[in-house]
Amino acid sequence: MTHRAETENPAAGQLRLLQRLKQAIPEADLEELAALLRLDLRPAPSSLRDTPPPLEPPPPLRPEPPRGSLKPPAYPPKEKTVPFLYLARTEWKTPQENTQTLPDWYETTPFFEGRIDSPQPASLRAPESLLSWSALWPVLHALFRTERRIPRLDVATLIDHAVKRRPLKRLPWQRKRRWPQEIVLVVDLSRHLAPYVRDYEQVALALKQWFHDRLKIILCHDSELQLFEYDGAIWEGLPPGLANTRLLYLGDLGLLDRRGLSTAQYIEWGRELRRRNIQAHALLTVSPVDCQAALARDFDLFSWDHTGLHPITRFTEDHGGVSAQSRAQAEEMLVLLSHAIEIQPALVRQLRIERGYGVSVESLVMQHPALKGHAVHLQWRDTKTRENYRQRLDALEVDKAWLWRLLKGHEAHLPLELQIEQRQQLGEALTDDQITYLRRLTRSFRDKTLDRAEEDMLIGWIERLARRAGEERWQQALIPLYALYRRQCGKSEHCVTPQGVDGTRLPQWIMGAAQSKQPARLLQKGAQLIAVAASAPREKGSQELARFTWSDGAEYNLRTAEGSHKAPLWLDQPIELSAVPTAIEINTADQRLILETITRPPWATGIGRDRYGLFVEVEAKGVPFVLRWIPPGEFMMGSPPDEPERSNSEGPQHRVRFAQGFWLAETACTQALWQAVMGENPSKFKGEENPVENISWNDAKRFIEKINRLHPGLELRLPSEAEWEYACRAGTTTPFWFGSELTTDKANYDGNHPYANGPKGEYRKKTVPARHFQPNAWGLYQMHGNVWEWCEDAWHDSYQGAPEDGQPWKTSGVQEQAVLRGGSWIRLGRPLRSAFRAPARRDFRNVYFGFRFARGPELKPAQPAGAGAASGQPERGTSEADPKPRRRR
Amino acid sequence: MNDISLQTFLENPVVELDPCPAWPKRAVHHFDRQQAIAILASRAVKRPLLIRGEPGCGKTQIARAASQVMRMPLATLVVNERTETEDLFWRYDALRRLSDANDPKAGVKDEKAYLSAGPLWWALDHVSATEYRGTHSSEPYLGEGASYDNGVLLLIDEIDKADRSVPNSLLEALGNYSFEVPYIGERITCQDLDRAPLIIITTNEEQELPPAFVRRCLVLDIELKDEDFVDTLSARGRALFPKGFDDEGIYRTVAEQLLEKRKALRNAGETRLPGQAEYLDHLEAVLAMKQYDPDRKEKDLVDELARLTYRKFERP
Repeated sequence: MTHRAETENPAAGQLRLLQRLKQAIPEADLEELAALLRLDLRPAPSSLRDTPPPLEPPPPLRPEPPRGSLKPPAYPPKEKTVPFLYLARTEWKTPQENTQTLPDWYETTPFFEGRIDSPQPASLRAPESLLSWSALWPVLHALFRTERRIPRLDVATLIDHAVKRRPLKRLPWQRKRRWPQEIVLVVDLSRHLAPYVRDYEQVALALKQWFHDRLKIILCHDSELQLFEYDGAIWEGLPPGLANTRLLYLGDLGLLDRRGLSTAQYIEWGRELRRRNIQAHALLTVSPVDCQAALARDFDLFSWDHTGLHPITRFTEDHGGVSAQSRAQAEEMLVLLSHAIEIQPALVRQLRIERGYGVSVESLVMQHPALKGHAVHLQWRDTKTRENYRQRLDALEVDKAWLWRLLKGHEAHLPLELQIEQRQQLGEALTDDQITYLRRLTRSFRDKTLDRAEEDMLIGWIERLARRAGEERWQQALIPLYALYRRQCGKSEHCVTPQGVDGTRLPQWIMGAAQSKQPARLLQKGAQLIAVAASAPREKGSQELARFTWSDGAEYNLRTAEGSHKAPLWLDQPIELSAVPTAIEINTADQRLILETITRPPWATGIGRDRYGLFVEVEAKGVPFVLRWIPPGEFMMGSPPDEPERSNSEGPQHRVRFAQGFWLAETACTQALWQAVMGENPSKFKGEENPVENISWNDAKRFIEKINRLHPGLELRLPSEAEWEYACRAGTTTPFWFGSELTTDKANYDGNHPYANGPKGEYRKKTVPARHFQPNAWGLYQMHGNVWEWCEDAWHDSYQGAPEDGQPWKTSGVQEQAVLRGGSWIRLGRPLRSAFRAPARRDFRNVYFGFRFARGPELKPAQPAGAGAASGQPERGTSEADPKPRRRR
Repeated sequence: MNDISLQTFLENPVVELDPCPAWPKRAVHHFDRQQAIAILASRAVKRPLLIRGEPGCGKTQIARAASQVMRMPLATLVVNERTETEDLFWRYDALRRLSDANDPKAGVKDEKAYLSAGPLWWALDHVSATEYRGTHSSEPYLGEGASYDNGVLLLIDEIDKADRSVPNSLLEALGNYSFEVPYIGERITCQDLDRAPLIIITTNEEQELPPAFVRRCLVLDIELKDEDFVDTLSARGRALFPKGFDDEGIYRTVAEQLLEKRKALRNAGETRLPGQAEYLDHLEAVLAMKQYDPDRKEKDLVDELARLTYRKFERP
């Protein structure tokens, strides 16, 4: 047995079963019993922690990426097609209310009376007749009447002759229209005609009353096999002894049979009828468009629908099977039925008639492979199929209220459980009876000792409900029962987690003790995702996708092109990615993280991921530079009051939350790039890889305007102060990202003036190349020192009233001054601190002023666009008045 | 419930199967430890036992023998490609009903007359099933000493013959021990979980079963391993035909021949291999021929009949 088989049969449930087996048959060895469950008990690789999996390089998400691309992308990255998973957005949830106390209704609700049993079956409702007998018989009479002489003289004709004095050659007898002496009735009972059987029966019974034993009934049990029952025997083909008579056929002449061969059989059968001089009329529960001309030769054809019996005389061209029109109508019917739990002929007929579809549709729907069950009692084959149909409901533009009214009309035939399920799916409010029923179940389940069978029944029902549920929010009244189910599930992987329930917000009066939380990291290892405690040792070959706070009830939702899969998220339990996900959502008590996939954007020349995270390579005028993805998240901006050498402008410390990530240049803008774009280089300390300096805020804005004009779609901008500090800290809270101690081998500043009495060091008296020194945890170089970096914001000497969403703060403050961050090669170590900020006039140039640029976030279509972002066209430059037109305000 | 334990099986591993209407031939079943454990386990955790193995390796026999040892009535559904899930629950004679409806003398009778309880119905609730014998009765076979008090053994034979949808739709009914009968608007459930039916399902693996279905079952694989092949078969042959041959070695000779044949066919890439059924046929044929021709050497007869026995495995 392989390791794979073991992951398919997740240990928990199977092991519990094994335990029960061992108790029941103590004499048997554990291995013998395990074999019955196809479990492998060998100690081999049982857990991932014992034996690290083979070192799998990053992102093999694509089914078959070329071998080389599996290696960590080398710099500069050139891989273009592999999608990378990355943390795109974060949402913070409002804190959970206290749900420890029992709800008001709890104590007053009595226990469920009697035994909890599986749902009662739906009762069968007969469909309305297509046509009443009174509407049918005149047509049949007209069809079958024959004129016959009756033994009474036609007095009127006699008189007429007498008056006109014409000689009488023959005595005129009265004639009268009458039913023929005998009729052969053929009723087709093939399985696919089940929706119409009541109509056939109605005609058969009425004719029987009329003809008594002059009606000869033949039952066709299977039209493809041409099995006919007549006079107590089964015949293959037309029974012998019938000739020179009239025949009425009720059925479809095989036209609706999915198997498709029946009609050919009936054409043959029609020839036989003709040979035997039997005149055949066929009442077909088939729309005229689905009829085939070949049948008209030997049958007199009628289409039988609620509007009447219509002779079929015109045929659409031979389509060899059911017409596209009827098939399309059947598909639409299924879309309309996608909210129905139980599909019966009565419902199908009513819906079809109200939508004005042809009569064929009933059979086509009832034998559709998307449905399963008995011929007249159908349910959806599986949730996925139904979901596929349901997604098309909006496109049909039906009146939801109408649909609900119709389904409600059939609700009385459903047991309470199915009624609740149906209302849940449609998002319709439950009735008081239904709510009381759920409350009583909840109370019994929580506080009463149910026997095993009852408990299984209840669990089974909730599980079915959950499995069949689509995206709809769960009814409030159903949530306690689901919570009980979830509690019962424990850590089982089979726990069904519907989209419409937030597993982290289940009522605590059921889930028990307060929710536990713990910092965690989400890792990707090859095609596997795994959440681990933040404190867990770093594993080789794994990539960190996000940091978050795990909580009880945490869930993940894996969305792929095929659909979505939601399940509880446990620490240290790997999640296999079998297909390329389009998005992964992680839902915890406090946050919702949204991971998306990204391939190389059109404005970049490469994309990759390394130990610092996701990055893109961009080229402007032949000069490459790198932008790093700064993931969404939150941090405390400013310095705590006890930080040494702090200034008052760094407070008050406040929380800033970035709901969306953004791109930030890996280094300060280099002289090579500036030269390429601007055609000149103002820097004092020349060096292609050194940062550009001696530029003002206005110069930086001009550069950005120009590079954006040269490269439509690039849309670079200056970072906000909050963005700068968030990126600089990269998750740290110390004065510098590397800790509290500043030395000159970590950053470029005047080593003669150390920070907080630290060690003295070298004074370089110039800039160094931008990629000098170690980058921080997010891969950003020299956030501390070398050159000051311009930010977008206007100067404020305190954070009082600062925005908390990380947007640049420009509406107030000293407009002619902008903010500089990060310190420089000249002077003290103190201004290098992450929190330090300094003002400077926008038109000031200095040999220690530089900048780095940011980009994004991408504008999400679901979010309201900011003013000015009227189209998806690249912005032509950015003006000072509206520096970030594509950002959300 | 009767107190059958593993010991019961191991002390008397050889069971002589009584002829019954469905299987009129005499047969002998030889329980081994794994089979006995599987049956007891299935009863204990109330999960169906899925027996897999090549045709003719004695899967069906296990169920018959178990019903006899455990004195359980035996309800059977032999599956074919036209079998629907409902066949296990009920059969409804719509044809009869319509023809009655059209017969002024007979008229439509009570619905009960057209509804026949299926094997699962009998297995879950034999009391109500007796009211619905209908025209296609699936009443279980009660062997000697068998009683409904011991629960019913439900044999679903050759499930792999059915349409793929059948196993999956069975899951719910077998899992809940209940199903609904639309015609009478009732739900048939297991009246007494202590007497829940023991469900044995066999498959020749002609088509692979849905994984969800297999997961819900306990699985017993009957494999004829080459090492034990000759021993196992000759023991079974000896048990069925105890004093048939002058030469005691015949049991082994025939088994060895069969093993050779199997190996040859397997090497040729065939998947359908001769097994226990062919072995017993071969022995029986030799026995029968011996009666007509008592002077022939048994060994010669064996060779002669081998050709007949294995012809069906030869490719034209």
